[in-house]
Amino acid sequence: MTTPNNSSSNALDSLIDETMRNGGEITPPKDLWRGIEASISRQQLGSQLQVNNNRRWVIGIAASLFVAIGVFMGTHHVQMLSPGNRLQTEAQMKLLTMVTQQHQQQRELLLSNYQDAGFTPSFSELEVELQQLREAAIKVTQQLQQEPNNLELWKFLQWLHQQELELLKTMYMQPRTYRQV
Amino acid sequence: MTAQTLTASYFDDPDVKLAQQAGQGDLKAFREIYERHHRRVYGLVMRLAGDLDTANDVTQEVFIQLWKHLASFRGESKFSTWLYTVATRVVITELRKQNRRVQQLQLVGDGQTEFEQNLVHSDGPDLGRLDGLIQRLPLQMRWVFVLHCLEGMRHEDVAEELGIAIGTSKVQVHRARALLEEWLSDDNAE
Repeated sequence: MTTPNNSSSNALDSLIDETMRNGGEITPPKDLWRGIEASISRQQLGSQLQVNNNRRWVIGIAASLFVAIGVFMGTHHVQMLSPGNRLQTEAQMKLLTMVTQQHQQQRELLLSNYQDAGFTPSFSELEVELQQLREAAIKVTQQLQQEPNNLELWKFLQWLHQQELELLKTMYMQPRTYRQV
Repeated sequence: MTAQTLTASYFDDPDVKLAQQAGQGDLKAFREIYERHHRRVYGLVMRLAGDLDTANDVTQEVFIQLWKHLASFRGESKFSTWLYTVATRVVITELRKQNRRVQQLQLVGDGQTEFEQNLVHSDGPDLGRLDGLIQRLPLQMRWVFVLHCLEGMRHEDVAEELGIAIGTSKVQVHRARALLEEWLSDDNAE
């Protein structure tokens, strides 16, 4: 081992100057932006989820309310059906089946498109919301069988179906973080 | 701060406008800030962290934290000064969290640190001679040397950031220089 001297000190100073001449920059070997962007998106989605949590309550309360009113109305409705009304109700039941089938087809098409393109769903926290949307849709469908003339219920079912499709798109299109990649 | 100073800093410092846009949620503006500064931040993180994976993760964390704190930038200093102050703080905090792992970066096997082993990895960044030597310094000595001698922080600020005495900071720099000079001398003698 040699003893450090002035020339070593000068050499060190030169190395420090040389290193800091370009601001001490080092280029990362990988693209780090993707992970940063994904994390920021997750944070923004988290805020959105908080809003969605509130929306979940609204969905739950609205569904329960519709069911409660429906039980009352449905009882009277069945009692008052005339032969003409029965035909109309059958047509409405067919329409309800068609709407449900059409939604299932749209969902399957959407899922197969994403899967064919190599996308995988992410964010398990969204699955809870998805499940709640589906349960609400089932409740509203059951209620429509009791109360087929309720226009608000039809609109509500359509809205729930649309929300489910939007949520599925979100689950498939969210970027993954650097760590996940 | 006067309106005149604010206006001057707005026009003189191109980062200020980007920071304001990014602070309002403009991710495109934030990406431009990232493009302008990430290499310097990565240099700081790499020298302090000492291994590639940690440097990658911590650099990302720095920019994620910057995004969260952009609203607190008031334009009272140059944006880059503010950015590197925040970055240094985040790096130190993050590395402390990973302290157990960092401690494992002490000499491994035949005296080669994990960092030096990473240097020969094909995916590793292109590092200079000084950076290779710095990684041989003991952890705290390395942090003090990097912050004071490379980042230009005053001993008072280094001491505050690292939670050590000012005297300790000065002694560590002195010892770090002595070790680095010794290693340079050895290398030249070979």
